[in-house]
Amino acid sequence: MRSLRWAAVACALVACAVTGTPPVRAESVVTAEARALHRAVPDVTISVAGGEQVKLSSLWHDKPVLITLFYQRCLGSCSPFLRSLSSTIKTVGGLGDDYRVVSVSFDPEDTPERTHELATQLGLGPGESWKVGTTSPAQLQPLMDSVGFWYRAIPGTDQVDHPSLVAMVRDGRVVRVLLGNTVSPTRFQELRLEARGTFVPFYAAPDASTRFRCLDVDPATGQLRLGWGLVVLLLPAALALALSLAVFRLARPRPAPAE
Amino acid sequence: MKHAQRNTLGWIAVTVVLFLVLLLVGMFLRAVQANQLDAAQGWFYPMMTLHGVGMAGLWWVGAMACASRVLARYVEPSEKVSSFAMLGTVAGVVLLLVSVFLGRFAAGWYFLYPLPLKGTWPRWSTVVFLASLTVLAVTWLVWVLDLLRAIAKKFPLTRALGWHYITGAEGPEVPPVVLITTVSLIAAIACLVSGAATVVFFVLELFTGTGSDPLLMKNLTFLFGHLLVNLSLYLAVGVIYDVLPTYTGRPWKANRVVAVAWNVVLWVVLFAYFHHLYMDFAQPPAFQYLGQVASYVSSIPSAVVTVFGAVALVYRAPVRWNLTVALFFLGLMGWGIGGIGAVIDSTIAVNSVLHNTLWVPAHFHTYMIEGLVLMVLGYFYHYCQEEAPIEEDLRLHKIATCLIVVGGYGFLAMFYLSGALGVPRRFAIYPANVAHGATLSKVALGFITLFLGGLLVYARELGRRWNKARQAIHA
Ligand code: HEM
Ligand SMILES: [Cu+2]
Repeated sequence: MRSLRWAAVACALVACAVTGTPPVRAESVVTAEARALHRAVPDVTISVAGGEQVKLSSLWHDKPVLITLFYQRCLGSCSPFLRSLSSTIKTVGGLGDDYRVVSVSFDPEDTPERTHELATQLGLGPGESWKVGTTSPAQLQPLMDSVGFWYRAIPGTDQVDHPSLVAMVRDGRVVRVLLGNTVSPTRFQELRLEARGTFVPFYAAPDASTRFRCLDVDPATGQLRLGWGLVVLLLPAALALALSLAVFRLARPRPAPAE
Repeated sequence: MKHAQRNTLGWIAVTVVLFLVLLLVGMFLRAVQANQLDAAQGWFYPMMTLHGVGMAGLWWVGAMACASRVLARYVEPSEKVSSFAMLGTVAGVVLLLVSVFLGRFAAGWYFLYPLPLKGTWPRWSTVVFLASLTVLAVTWLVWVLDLLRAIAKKFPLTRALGWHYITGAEGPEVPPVVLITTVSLIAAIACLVSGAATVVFFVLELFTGTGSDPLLMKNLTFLFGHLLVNLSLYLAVGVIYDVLPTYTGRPWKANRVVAVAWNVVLWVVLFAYFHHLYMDFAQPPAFQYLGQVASYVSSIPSAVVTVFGAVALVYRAPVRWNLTVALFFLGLMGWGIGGIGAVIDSTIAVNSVLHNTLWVPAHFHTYMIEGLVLMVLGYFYHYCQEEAPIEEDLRLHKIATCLIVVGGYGFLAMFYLSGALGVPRRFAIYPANVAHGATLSKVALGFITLFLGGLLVYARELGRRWNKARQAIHA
């Protein structure tokens, strides 16, 4: 009976771990950017002005694709973001040689022509290496999920809240995400190196939300402070000592050991 | 008594069969690296994980099984706990197989944070892998505590650690195997607790999404991983102290030097693992230097004392060089050679060149395949031959040992050579600038076949005695 109950608890735990999504919380940009890594991106079809239909796989078959999402009516970050991306690409280079770009609208009202108009206005130079267009509502959601994009309506306006991101996709998998309204040339340079096949190390540095940090750096002075993580590190040795002493005390030999 | 024999015969069967399977997995890895199995490339990393975790765990339980059987000459380990350990180990292995074969879990043998959470495999396979580790760590912890309990029933802690040899006080004679096993088991608690702590942090992240400190995770992981492998060797060495004298007719007793060397191990072995973090810029420099010193001090004195003692034991003694004696000696030699490779690599200046080349698998495969494995196989044969003596054909023994030595060292030489030539470790396919890695892999495959041949001869010799011993129990 007891073992049955334990089995049930264990199953429940496993089920939670398998299906449960981690709760939302404030997190560092690096952690957020890591969220979508390695996800498979669906091979959706993009409709481009002029009637052209482009499958994503036809773009990523020989070089990585940078995917961005936007909508034409946006009064907020979309235009500045796309402009920043465009000027950074001009600074860093590599468009068409190392990667292609695809900008997809997430607004069902947008038409390929409307998106083309915006792109031309912003000077993105839509063409062979930078495709701008729309996709069907059914294909949109899986695409957004795969790169970690979302939006929600802002009540009382016709605007929506949404992040700005560039997701680099190689062979149908997300390999890197840049978050933020401005695309910094330094970070974009890393993206380009990665697109060329150079490994650029990438991991979330511990921040204030990380429990049991070994060390803390004071950003003002650069001084290192020891953290609770070091205490955790001592725990195994301390337990080894305590348990050994306990075992040897409890199982002490009788006064006259049989030799 | 029958329970004890059944347990030991069980451990022997499990170890030898799993070794053959995991060896074939290792051969598969080398075959992929030799560009012989292009279709199966996708399985390289899941199989590398299975091979690494499997081998490390296998030889730990193999050594534990030998140590507990030898200890039983002096103290009374619980046979029930030994059976429980076998069940738990099998359960852990089944979970591991599920996670790598069905879930394609492929984070490598030390599953370094945060890779298990970021791979291309499904989340459930990470969960199953962590469950496997948990089952194994808990099972082994129970086993370790029981052996310590058995020792404690007979010896107070200070005696078991041989402190009276060091201080010169009066005290009972302590068999070296008791001293060495006590040291290893105490450290093993820290090892297993650390493994469990790593799992706890992984699970916390899976459930709550809070990240862990990568530096803490890497430290905990290697405290676990380094110790597990290191302690397996020490346990097997303790067994040799006890069994070798029965072949030479001379006793191998504890004395001050032996006691000092092994007590030193107890104090520094917990710090040696820092040499796995030389490349981590965030690790405080003091730890790095401590790691270098601890790496030397935890291995050199104990190895020198042991090799010196073993040579003294057989020097001009009428020894019958059967499989056991030959494998014990070769095992100690392999431990020494691999140890030299390790000490070279644990020197910070050298490590910055050899780090993550095949030099690393080269040295640890040396003290595993030509060290630990031979010691354990030597004891298995000794045990079966004692339980069910069959007349020995020393020619056959010579053939087996020759094949194991030539095949094994040939295989290792290809690893060392590749490492020195800058071939990286953990590459399924070698890119053009290190294409010689593939050629050397091909040569290695030939040597592995020789090794396998030797092992099969050994297995046949062992199997005949194993069968006879089993029949004797059932009779
Ligand atoms: C003849 C037998 C064996 C063969 C052919 C073999 C082969 C290999 C190969 C090809 C690799 C991958 C090397 C790389 O590119 O990084 C490897 C890794 C490894 N092997 Fe073996 N091996 C054998 C025996 C053993 C034994 C006895 C152990 C005992 C503990 C062992 C433990 C490991 C470990 C821990 C790894 C590292 C896995 C990782 O990097 O995650 N192997 N082996
Ligand atoms: Cu917008």
